[in-house]
Amino acid sequence: MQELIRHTKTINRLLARYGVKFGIYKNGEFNEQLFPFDPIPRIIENSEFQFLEKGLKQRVNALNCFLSDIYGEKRIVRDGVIPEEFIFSAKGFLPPCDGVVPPKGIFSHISGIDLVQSKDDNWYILEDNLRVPSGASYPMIARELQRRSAPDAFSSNSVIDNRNYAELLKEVMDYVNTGGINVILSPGRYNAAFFEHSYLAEKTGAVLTTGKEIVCENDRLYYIDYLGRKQRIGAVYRRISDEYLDPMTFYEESVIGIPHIFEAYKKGSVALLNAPGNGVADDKGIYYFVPKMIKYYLGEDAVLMNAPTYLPYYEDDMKYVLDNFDSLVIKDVAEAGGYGVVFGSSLTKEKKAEFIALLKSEPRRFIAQEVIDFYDLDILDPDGKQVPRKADLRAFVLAGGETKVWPSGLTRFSRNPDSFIVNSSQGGGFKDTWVLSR
Amino acid sequence: MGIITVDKSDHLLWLGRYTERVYTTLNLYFQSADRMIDTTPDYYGEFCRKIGIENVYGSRKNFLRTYPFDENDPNSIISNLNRAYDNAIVMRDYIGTETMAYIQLAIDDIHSAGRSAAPIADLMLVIDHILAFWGCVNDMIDNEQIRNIIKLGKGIERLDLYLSLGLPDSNIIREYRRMKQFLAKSKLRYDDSVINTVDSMISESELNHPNVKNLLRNLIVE
Amino acid sequence: MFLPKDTQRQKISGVEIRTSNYEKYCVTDDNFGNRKFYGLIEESHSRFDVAVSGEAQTGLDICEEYTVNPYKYAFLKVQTKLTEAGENIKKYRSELDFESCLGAYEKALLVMNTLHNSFVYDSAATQIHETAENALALGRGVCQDYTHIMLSLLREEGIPARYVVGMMIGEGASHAWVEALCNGCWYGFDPTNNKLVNDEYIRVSCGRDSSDCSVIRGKFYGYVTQRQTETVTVEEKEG
Repeated sequence: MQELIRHTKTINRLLARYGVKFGIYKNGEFNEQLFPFDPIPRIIENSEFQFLEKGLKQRVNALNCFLSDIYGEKRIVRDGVIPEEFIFSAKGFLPPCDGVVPPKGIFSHISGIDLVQSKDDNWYILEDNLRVPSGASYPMIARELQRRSAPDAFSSNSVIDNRNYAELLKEVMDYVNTGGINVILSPGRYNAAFFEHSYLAEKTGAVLTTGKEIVCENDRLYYIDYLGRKQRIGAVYRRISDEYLDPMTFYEESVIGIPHIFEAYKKGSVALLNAPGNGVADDKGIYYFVPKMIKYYLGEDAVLMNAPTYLPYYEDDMKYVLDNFDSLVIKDVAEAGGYGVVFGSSLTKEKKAEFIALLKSEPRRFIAQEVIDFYDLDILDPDGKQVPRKADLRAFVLAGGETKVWPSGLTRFSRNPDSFIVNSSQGGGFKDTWVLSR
Repeated sequence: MGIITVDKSDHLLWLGRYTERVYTTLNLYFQSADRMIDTTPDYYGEFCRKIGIENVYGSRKNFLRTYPFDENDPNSIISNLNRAYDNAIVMRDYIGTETMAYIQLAIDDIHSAGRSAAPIADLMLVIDHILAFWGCVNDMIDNEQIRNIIKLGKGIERLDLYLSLGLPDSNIIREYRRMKQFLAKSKLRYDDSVINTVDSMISESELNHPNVKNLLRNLIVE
Repeated sequence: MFLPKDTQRQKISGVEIRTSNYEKYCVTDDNFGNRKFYGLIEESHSRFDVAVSGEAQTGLDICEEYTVNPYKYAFLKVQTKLTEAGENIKKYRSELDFESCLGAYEKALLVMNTLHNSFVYDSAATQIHETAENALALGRGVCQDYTHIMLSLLREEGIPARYVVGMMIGEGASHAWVEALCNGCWYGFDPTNNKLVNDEYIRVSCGRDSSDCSVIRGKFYGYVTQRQTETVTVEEKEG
């Protein structure tokens, strides 16, 4: 570990050399920033990883079952496991996707599952990201560069190499590919995660495109070269959100989408990773029901726990939330990226009364959770001292022929000692995540 | 991989052009700065005229500062380098992270030269990294067409600058012949009649530089 | 562009599509139950004409569709941006005597009746994308506004309801009305005319609100200004 700390300057220099950046919009202007990296990795023992792996596969498999049920027969609603309000009024439920079966029946190919570890060593699931989870490229390149800057740190540690992420991703793309090339569809270079889009394209051999070079003709998707020749596309790893994907089906004003791509997808002539409509499964309101889903579809108990969650929608839960308001964190189900999160204890008396009134008028809009006592990770502060900070872990689960968990992950930390918010859009940094091979 | 779309060939071509522009104008800037030390202090006016940019600099001191480093001056070296970066960053999957790193390093160099006590000496690092970038293009990009489109861009830009600067015909003809090789290998669509006309102009007597420059502007067919 | 399709109430035959400069197109059924055809013209063009003709036999049943799985259409209970109920709609709803109604069908009749008599037809009052809430506040509007308001009220009652675009005998433009799911059947209600949908109506498309149903939808590459004209002719066939 000392080896890694000693070479902090070197690794930062290398990260700058390779432009490991993310974009950020402030006051309407686009800026790229280096993604702050902390050299001390999160270390996960092999036995612990096996446990996580089992739980994560189970969770993603159940979520995939849920998606195919919801856009199919809707048994889980009929059987009263999830109230229909939570499904059909979720922002992510897209009626145009009803009845559509994606190639090979997979909805969530790349899932980013956010977890935290508590002081008593338990892991809790914080949220599921089944639409376009980002972040895998950062630990990938950080590992590559840290192996150059501090090789000795790796020789004695038996760390599983995480640079195979590109192969895992390519495997999944190839598995669902309907005949043709793989492409990565990016909204363009002024997107926060453009570094990742271009890096994954390079490493998987997929073609990076912004959609301008793609046409849909006779329900097939083609990539057009400079002489006007067309090449069939079999799989699109799209990094643009559902609303913008196809102006003919979704948001009509979208200029980054591809007209009629949804029709080609519906007719099975191209695979979309991830499937449109997945937002219904990673909705914060649906989160509460995931352990029930696991039981319902797989007949198993959930291996990984949710953070204890209450739905004010249910009368008993509402009562609990009001009685214990100060010890809970309340989340607006429609918000993401660390926004719309309120800690009960942080509100003034007036704000609290205001918030409770809102909660009572729109109970379906909120969930309440116990505040988890995070197990903090050490980071190196600018003076070179090790200080504890809140951190989470985004695990990447890839579902192709079989479901696999990437033996690494994105560990994000808050740079502010008082903050629980680790999102890069709010100034957080990242660490590499080591999974030990023994 | 290896499918080149209109947008992509455009980015590659301009990546070649902007890196060349940075390289040649920076070398010219070094020579001009040398002249301005003692022999011709207001030589920058001549410099601007030669490379065909507006002289907005007002003083020698301001020129020496603004022309390399001012990101708000669209003609500055840093602005051209930023454009090279803009064209490179969208082509990572074609040119590779290793190759791209040299553009990033050149940008980091020019920023630190701007903060340095000896800016001209430190700007030489930009030249080093542009040369390393071209070396990397040659060495690491397997796809011949991609390589040749970048080199074609570089050749077209160099020819354009040399024509503006009024370099001897022998230099122009040498660069023109090199550029033609890349043109053929790039497989891009181009206007045959431009090549035929320039070829015949060369075989005759003295070259009319402005005419050649104008002709070449329409070489590549979009 | 949407094409009329067979329902329980209507049968469509002899559909012909003619376009000015495009021959290949695809046909698909969307998940609202609509049929549409679509395509792409790569060449630049200054004009595009499309004409669809066909025959419709109507009045074959009193409802459009029978639904087996009640959850299939549960999403049509959810309000959209255009139908979202604000203060005006909530107040209007509270003044309706739903208590005395036996089921969804009677509620829909009540809404149609009341709305028809209290809302004024005025083709100049509202905008293209007017919300139900605003239209109700104005008290006047066109068939689209009648339909959005009625949808909003029915959805507030928990009744799945959808926006329908179609044609009526004698009118020179397309028309809009409501379909509501009552006891497993979709019935048409026309609040603009205070009529149950019968053999005078030809149904073309349906969706959550007007934005799902516009008969033609298109996307241009590059900068364009466009003008669009639309004519509808419905004639009764003898025999």
